[in-house]
Amino acid sequence: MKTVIANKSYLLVAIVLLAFFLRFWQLGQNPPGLYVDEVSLGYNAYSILKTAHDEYGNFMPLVFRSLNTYNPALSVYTLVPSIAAFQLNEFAVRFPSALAGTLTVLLTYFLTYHLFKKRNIAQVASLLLAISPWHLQFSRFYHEVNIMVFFSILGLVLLFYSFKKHYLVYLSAISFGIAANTFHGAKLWIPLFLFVILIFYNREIFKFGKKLIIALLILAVFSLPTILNFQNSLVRPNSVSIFKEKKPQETFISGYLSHFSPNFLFMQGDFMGRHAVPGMGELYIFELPLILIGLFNLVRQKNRTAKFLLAWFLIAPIPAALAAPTPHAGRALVFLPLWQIIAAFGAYSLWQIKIAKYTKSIALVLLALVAIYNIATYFHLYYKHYSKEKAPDWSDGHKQMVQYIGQVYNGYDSIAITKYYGYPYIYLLFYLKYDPVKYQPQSENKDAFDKFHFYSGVLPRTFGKTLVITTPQPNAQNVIKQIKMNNGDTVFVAQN
Amino acid sequence: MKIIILLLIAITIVFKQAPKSQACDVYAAKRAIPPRIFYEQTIDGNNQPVLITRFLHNKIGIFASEVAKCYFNVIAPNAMYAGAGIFGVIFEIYLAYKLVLWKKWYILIILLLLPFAPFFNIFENQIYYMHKLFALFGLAVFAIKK
Repeated sequence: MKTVIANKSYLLVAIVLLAFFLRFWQLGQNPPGLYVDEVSLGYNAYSILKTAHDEYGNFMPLVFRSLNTYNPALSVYTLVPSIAAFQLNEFAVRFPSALAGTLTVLLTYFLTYHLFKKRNIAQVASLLLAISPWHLQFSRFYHEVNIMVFFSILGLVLLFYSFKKHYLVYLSAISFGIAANTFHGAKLWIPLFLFVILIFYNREIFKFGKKLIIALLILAVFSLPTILNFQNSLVRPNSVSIFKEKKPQETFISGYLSHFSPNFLFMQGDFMGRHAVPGMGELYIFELPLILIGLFNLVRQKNRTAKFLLAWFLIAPIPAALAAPTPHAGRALVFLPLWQIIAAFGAYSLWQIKIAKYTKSIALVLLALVAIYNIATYFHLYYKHYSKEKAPDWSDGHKQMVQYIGQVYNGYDSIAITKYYGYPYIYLLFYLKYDPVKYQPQSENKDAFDKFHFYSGVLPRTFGKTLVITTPQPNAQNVIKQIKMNNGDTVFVAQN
Repeated sequence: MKIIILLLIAITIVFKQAPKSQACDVYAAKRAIPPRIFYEQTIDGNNQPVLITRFLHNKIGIFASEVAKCYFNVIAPNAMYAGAGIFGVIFEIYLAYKLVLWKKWYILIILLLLPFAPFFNIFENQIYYMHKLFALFGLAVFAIKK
């Protein structure tokens, strides 16, 4: 690894700096608000930091109860250092994901270099990941899947380097173990991925001898949280599982294939507003020819690297296809950085084709023009359109609502807030930095705490002077404040 | 035995019930242009230089993206699956791979251009049968080779 760094590392440093800039710039402002899962995980991390208990008062839990489901432990614990360093705010919650995303770009270089032994393929792969709309989207908000991808790629890179330095296998096992405890889909993905790695690299892996047994023990220890909380760990997977469907096998096949849909990959992306920028695919359209050439050459090569990458390519959509809806950019994030590696290999193969020099130059210029237009369009759509178009998907307006309540809190005896948008209680806890010690004893009642009451439909019985926060209604009486999203649309109104 | 298996696969491809194809044609693409331009330019606002707005949100770009969506709808693996079943997907991809490998560019170009036909209201309801046909070609190539 040292030699890789020592040899002409300037380009790699530039790529990592670019990845860092694209992931951290305006991180707290765009996407324009914290989604409810980010808020919930963030407040639980804050609660752990302050009291060593989660919002329900459980001491250092191995599985976190949150918003009617249970989350793997590391989805919360990874946030604790960041919240300790930057306080409880948007930047702190998104920091671990942005950092993991930046480091994944670096790891992609080492992974690709190990696979192909070509520095230029590795550089192109890491550059493509650095600017990837798919990876940027998931690096710029806190989604556990991005942390899982980072740790699984770290585990893979360490495993490859452990073939020469055997002690690294322990670190690899720890990385895979951490990955398995970050995201629900990891319970399926990590064993599947390890199985594929074992198939293609068993010769080297079995050379570890006793070290392999210790590595397996490490993995076993990391699987304990899931085993000890088996029932709770299944709540979320069961709620999205396709096995409730009438024809699950057909749903699986069409869900699996949908992740290879060119419209999903290159034109429209995931239909969920948080997962893609409208008008963009998950990948750039200029990558399409490179991916096709890369895939064709991988199939033709038939060496171990090619077979391993193709096996990864075929298993990547399996966890996503077992859940609904599909295609799902989040659950299929395990595709990364594979698409970029294939595209980089495709670019290398294209460069190697023996055709007239001017033909090659014309092809490259055309590709570069499409790439520039494509990339410019993406950044324009992300920074100019996305925050306006998709503000509701990010629960924009909740922060403004809590800030307003903070200003008028002392003037009212009770405050009633609509549950129309989901879980207002967690936004109050988060943005008021509500003392976890005070909240934990009240945590079982999700309809009220402190002087706050949460209602859906009929207003609850409150006492004294009451402030009502509700959705905008035509001809509403006694409106004292309109609470707007960043795009100017009213999301809440305050009434006396 | 091999012949029986191949025949069974061929039967699953032929008898896979094809759904009705979605309307995605040149008229739909043209209709999509004015509202998209209006919507996108409104978001950009008046403060942005007109040149940038025109460069990023123009008729040609929107029309091209609508054409691409229609085209990709037809060649998507899910469209292959809907028309010819899971074996159909495998053998269509196999056929495409072999055509590239053998450098049969003219046949490949025809195969790649055919999905444009429904865009111009040609063969719009026959597109799933096209997948059956290509899958059977792929199966035949596989049978001959193996």
